[in-house]
Amino acid sequence: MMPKILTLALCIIALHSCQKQEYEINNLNNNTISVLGHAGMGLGDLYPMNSFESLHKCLSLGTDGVEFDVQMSSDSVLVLFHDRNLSSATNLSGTIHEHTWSELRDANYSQTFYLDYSLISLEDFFQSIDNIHSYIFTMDCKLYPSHDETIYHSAFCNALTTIIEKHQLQDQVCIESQDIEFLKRLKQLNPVLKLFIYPANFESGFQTARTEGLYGITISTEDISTEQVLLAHQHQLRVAVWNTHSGKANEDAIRKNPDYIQTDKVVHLLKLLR
Amino acid sequence: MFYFSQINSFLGYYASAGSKRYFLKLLSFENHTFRPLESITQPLIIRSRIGLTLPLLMIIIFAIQRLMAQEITTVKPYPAISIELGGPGGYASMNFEKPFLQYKNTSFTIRAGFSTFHLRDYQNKFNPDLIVPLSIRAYTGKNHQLEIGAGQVITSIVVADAEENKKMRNLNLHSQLALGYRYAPEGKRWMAAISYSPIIDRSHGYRHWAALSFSYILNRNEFSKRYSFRLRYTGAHRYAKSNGKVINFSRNDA
Repeated sequence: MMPKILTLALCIIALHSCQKQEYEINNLNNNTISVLGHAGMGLGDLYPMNSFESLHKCLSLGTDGVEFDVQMSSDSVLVLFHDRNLSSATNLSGTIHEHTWSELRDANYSQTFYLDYSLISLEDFFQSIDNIHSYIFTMDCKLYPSHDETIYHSAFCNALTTIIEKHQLQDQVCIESQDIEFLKRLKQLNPVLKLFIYPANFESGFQTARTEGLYGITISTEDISTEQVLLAHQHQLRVAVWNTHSGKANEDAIRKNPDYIQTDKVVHLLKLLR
Repeated sequence: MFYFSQINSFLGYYASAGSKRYFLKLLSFENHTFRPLESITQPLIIRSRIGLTLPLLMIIIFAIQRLMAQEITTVKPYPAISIELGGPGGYASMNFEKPFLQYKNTSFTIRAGFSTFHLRDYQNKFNPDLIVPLSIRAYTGKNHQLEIGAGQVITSIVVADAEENKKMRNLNLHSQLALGYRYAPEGKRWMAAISYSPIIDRSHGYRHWAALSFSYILNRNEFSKRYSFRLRYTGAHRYAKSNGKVINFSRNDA
């Protein structure tokens, strides 16, 4: 009798654990949360962040899109890379802006032995996607000028708007930056772009976004509460959260009802929301 | 000089176009577009001293074997399989190890393994990265052994050519070293080892790395006898060591 009861109890526990949790989502994104991979497959994946392989792997899993970091080379080519210094993750040194694209295209990520993945340009990435208009692309613009900031910002904005217009991605692209002057310049160039401020804290981001008429706020999930997300939504500001390094962080982020989650646990978030 | 010319001809043979094409065919899972043959096989044409590790070690060991042929007292022909965390296989690997020479308390083994980083490629298709560590290891001691080894690692990694938007395999050859400790209790069928096992990556240079491995000895003498396994001999007589006692048996014992 006892073993039967135990078996039954185990079955009930197993069935309970298999139940998919339902989330009630209320946001400005048609009450759905868009799943974006953080720089592709996120931190901790064997594919380096922002590499071609990481970004494509993320899209191939069925995400709504992908977030990535954009910098500009000395010859105004937009390159996908996160850190200020190339030496932190590649076999080159200096910054992206100190090199031409022809120098950068030969660089390899050097984080894991045996693995030789290359740096890629934004143009090559967009060219490689088959159904480009079915995805959302969030570009985190990393501004590391090596000389005059105004000229650098201007060249960056021009390169960005040119490539977006070339691929007709105005509706699919979200642009993030910590620099409000950069965002203002972009808005002057193309008023329909979806611009996100990437603030140090919610309060300052909320104020800036409202004042400048931005599309939304990008913020670490730890730095925003459910009430603050609601407040942003009440003012027609979208919220994108990042810094979800674990399954629990994914679940916590969903409960806050953001519009976009840039996750490091792509497969887990897809299982929760699909 | 004679030996070095032999090494070069040995390498030249394996770097010949025919064998390279055959090797690539073995490693390919899909109809990928490969880089031009010259660029993909360039790593195989070993130009540095590092690349000479394995063949040089093999020649030294065979020379020692020949010189000391009369003094070799035991051959322990029992292979082992092992699971290794870290090591030349990357993060984890399965290995097969076969002793080929024993001189007093020192045994020499040849070891081959298999590992991967990704089973599915960046398009989410089954197309694993292949990592094949090959090495020769020397163990000296009885229960507590010092481990020294060197070898090569063949890798075939799926990467993208972003400009052409094509999938391809990067075939490379790297070097590995090992210095560690192995616990091999006599009469038991398992062994455990921990080692410092740096990897000399073709692109990224010298990398500190470590390994922890657990081995299971296959086909021990008593095990073979008990289950009537047929032992295979290459010569008329072989000696096997069992529980510290050297016994002599012939083809008929099997």
